[in-house]
Amino acid sequence: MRAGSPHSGRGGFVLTPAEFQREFLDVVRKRKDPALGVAFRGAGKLSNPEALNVYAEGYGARMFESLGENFETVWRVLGDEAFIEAARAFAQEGVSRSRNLNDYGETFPAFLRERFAGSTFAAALSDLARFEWAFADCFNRPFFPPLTAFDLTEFAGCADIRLEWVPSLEVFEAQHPVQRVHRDAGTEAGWNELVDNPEATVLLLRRSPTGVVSHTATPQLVGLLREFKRHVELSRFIEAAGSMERVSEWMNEIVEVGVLASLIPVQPPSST
Amino acid sequence: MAIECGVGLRPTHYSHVLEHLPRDVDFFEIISENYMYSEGRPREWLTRIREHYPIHAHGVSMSIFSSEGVNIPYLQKLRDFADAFEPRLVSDHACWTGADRDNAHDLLPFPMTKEFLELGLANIGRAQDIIKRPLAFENLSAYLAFESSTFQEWDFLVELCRRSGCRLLLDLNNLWVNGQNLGFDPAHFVAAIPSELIAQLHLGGPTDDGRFLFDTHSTAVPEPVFALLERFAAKLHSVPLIVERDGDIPTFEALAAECARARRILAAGASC
Repeated sequence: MRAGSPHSGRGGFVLTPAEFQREFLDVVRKRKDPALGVAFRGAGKLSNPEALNVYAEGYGARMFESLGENFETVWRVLGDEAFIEAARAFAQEGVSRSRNLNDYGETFPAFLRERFAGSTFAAALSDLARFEWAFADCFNRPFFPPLTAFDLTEFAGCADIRLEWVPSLEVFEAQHPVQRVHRDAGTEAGWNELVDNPEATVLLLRRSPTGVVSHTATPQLVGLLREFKRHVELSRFIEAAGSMERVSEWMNEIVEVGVLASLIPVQPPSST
Repeated sequence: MAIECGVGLRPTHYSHVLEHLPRDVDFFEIISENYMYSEGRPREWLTRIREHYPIHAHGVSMSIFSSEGVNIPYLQKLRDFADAFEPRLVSDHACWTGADRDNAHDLLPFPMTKEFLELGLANIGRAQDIIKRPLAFENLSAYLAFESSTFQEWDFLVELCRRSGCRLLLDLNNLWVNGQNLGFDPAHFVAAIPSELIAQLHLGGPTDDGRFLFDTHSTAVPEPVFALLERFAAKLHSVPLIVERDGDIPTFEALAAECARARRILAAGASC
């Protein structure tokens, strides 16, 4: 019987659609031998197991390709052989729960840490993978032009002012300065040096008009952004800073790293 | 009716398209999932391109033949995307892609039986209600044929379209690949589909594995596929067509040249 060819059909399809799909998925995911509970024949010169293997191999190839795109620097520092083995093992163990293939790999950094546990580079590799994931995540957030200057006197008479951060802002923390080897940056020697010399790193990632930029920031600003993830009222900001001198320093740094999206007047609550 | 020919939009061509605004393509087909899950850079590119060209949204993850039913959050996301970008056509594939908690991200086949027809009809009805648009579904390339199919593929798809109000995205490459792999004449298929049920055409090229043709979309449109288009040009000339490439993506000019050839073929068919 041929797909797409004239036939009368034998019927006798004993599996329900749900049972058939479970069986087929088990074959694709290599959880069972390449055989199905329904009769079929392979395409071209393919035997039946070879035909099912086209789907099983295709699954592995697709997941590998997705990981390779999301973790291209991890691939570079690991080398082809180790990366391919790690990606295949991850694809075999891990499942994709999303309809979006680009979401696949969120747990790959933790997987790498475990897979290479005991090696000198496991922690750095996991940091690098987390950085690549955060970078890609930021890339898919909207760009909002940061304020480059502002005049607080325009808000005279307002009860307070809300400082809103750019929506793409991500605070990234790691034990290694992995941004130094990301993508085209760095060399093999640079990677080795990074592995051997851990250095606590905090980066602010945000969208630029054409991609993603990262900035280092003072611990004080990082603490503020950690506490107030999307916005902060100026009154709280002043309170956190503790002095007007520090308010001025923080404001300058906020503008310099481009995380301030807008200033919104907060009106006093109306009395009824 | 005017002949409309486009290409599948891929990131490698974004800059070229925006710089040259090529007039030899009438529209672009985009992969829905590459944009509907992003608020960032990919969507910004598409917004700019959409200012100059109509788009068709073609998805790979609707899994309309899933025995688990439709995935409502996915469909709502797709509807929001369609509301924002107003594609002229929203399409996906006549297939299933895995389970909600274990997605294979592949276009998987199924036996063409009454059970699967009823399943598809129920799912398409719900999907069209949520998306609030008629949908189109593409005929698959497959690497096996089920003995238990009780419909010819074209009869199955015509019945599906007539009873659900959806239409067919006729991929002539898939048809030719299946004809070669499974041993039937693709012309029988095209002849059996009423032209009013065909929403769009796809042209692409497979890879010859030696044992079978693998639908990679990584080669130029093969001569037999152009020949199939030519044979049915009088019937298909008013159907929008795209040339698509997913691997070994050539220059935009090379794709546009294939698009121009298809346009000439359809124009000749229109004058018959």
